[in-house]
Amino acid sequence: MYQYSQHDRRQLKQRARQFQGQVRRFQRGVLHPDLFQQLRLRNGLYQERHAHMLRVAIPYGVLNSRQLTRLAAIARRFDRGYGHFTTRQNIQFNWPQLDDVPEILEHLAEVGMHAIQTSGSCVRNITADHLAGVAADEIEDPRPWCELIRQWSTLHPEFNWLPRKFKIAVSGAHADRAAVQWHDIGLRIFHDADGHTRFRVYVGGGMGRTPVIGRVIAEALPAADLLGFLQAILRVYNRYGRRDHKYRSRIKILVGDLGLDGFRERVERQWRHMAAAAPAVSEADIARARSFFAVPPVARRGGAAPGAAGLQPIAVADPRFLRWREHNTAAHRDPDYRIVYVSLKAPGRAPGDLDAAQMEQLAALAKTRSAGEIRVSHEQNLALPWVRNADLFAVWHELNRLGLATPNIGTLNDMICCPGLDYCSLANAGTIGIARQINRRLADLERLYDIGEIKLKMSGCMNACGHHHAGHIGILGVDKKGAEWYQITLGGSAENDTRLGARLGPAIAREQVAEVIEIIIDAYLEVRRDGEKFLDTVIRLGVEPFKQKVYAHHQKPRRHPRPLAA
Amino acid sequence: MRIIKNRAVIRDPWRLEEDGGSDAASDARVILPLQRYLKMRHALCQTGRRVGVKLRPEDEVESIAGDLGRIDLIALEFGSFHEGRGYSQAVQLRRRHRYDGEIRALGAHRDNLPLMERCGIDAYQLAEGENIEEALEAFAEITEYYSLSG
Ligand code: SF4
Repeated sequence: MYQYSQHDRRQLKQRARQFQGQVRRFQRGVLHPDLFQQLRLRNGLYQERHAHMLRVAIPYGVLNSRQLTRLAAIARRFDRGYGHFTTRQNIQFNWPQLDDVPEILEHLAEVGMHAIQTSGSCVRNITADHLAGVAADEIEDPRPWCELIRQWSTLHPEFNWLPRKFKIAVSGAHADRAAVQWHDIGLRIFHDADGHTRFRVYVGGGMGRTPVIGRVIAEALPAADLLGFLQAILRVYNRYGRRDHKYRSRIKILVGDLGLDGFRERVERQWRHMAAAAPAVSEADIARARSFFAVPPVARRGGAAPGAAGLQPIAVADPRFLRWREHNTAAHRDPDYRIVYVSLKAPGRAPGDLDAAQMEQLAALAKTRSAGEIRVSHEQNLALPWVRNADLFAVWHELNRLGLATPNIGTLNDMICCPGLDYCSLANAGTIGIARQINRRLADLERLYDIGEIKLKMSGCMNACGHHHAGHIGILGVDKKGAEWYQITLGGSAENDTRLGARLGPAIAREQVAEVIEIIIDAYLEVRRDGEKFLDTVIRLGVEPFKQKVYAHHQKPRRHPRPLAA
Repeated sequence: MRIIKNRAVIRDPWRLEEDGGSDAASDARVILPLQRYLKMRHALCQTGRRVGVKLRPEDEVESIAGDLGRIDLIALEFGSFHEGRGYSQAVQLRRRHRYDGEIRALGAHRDNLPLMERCGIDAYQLAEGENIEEALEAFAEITEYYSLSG
């Protein structure tokens, strides 16, 4: 993975000290609270419902054992002993004291981590396919490109005060696992007929209250032009994006106002004007970036794999292990290895939460069994990317002991869930309690396997941090005269077939959410064709049959007094 | 009034004309709002007099692109802490149009000075409430930047 040089580390230290100075000036009353708010956001620090929240970037989802161990130490010392992984490959600490934050940032800097630009109207953490570099279906590893984009966007002087936040995601595989079309800019790497790296560039995607799916602004951008083209897009957005209204200021609105062609025309004009002044990616730049992402040395030795699948006989005999292997591991590009998912969706736990002891022991496990690497997925799970077949049984044992082997990856219970009312000051409704309600009602694993792949995604308000628009089943918390209600959508997707979920009908009362989900599932099981996935059934039939079932059960659906969702 | 120029505090030799005033006084070095400059540009051209021009965030730098050789100073209005358009204006002036006169930020806040400087702004009239001597410290806070980040 990328190794921080003296230079990178010095920058992080300087930034931490700069922030310390800003905290002091704020506390002395010299720095105006409004200004301080913007500065702390650009260092990942929020003021939440109960306390401050610090959001730390995990660029393109890549962590090493040392970093995870450090996150554990921070969770113990400065928080209440746990952290929360988000849908954007960040980790959030919910209880730090303002005075401690500069020190936390210094601790992070020592292991090459930071919270720079994890919030505020600037270019946010660059996200990517969490299986980058190991996926069986990969065309090209996106991480070197992500690292170049990270460097380009970090403390970029021109784009620190954009109209609104700006999110970039990159995928280099046949299957999009980075939700690129739901980002302000989404990049998909492919190779042209001559084998050269090119990017399909999507622009103007985003969730929030006006969900828009990103559209193609460049079909086949040459690799050398990547940063220059991004710069041209950002400049057009910075110059012409609306600044008068918070909900009209994302790039998707500008693209909508100008039309895709109008927007493209401005970007291309800007791009021509930049000409020689545009940042170009040289062969040397990319070669250097790639050198950081070679196959890890421990993994290069090659696996001595006993048995056909490389499994020990004892493993083959254990049905619990086999079930876990089937659901929680994925094909690796090297057949001697498997990718192991670490489920952060154990029933009864808040999705995405991990406590300090788990972090430490997982870091130790990764060190001995996964080349010291851990990945963070936007679906709020972790993954061990370099596990030998021969080690799978031992890894399963250890994960089981840590409560991280619930064999539910890809099932209904593997849901995405934002922090909601329990933590977030913007929330309309709770999410963690609803997750628990659904977990309890649909707890039987065999039943979940029979139901098959369903991506359930839940947000506590219109900001859509839980990606509900993109859920096969989406749940959005709404506030109805002080009570928590839930709007259901069906048929969203964040993958190759990116789609926006359609509203099922009036919002559902808190106590009924799990029941309604079950009704939807039962309706699906009744009508599905052989091997048809839930999403495909919804696409084939639309929401109507589901709607009928749900609202027939709820005799008189009480209508919400105002529109529930955009 | 005191301003920062090239990281030092100096007394400002320029006078900022307000929008809607009449003809510019001919005695001082004056900064004209864009609209007034455009109205007077013909006369200015003939006398060969050199002036400064003030751009609002929504103004296009292209509107004075042909005149840059006669403009000694361009003042960019920032207005608020989170106004971001001036950064792009400055970069466009320096990189695309190769403007090498003074580019001044009006209403600059201490914590934005390093960003402004990296965009090519070299003079700063600080926002109200900022301490000009203390603001100088901002430049040295971060010395390491990625070369790709401009
Ligand atoms: S979706 Fe709303 S409630 Fe959930 S984390 Fe985002 S802002 Fe908070």
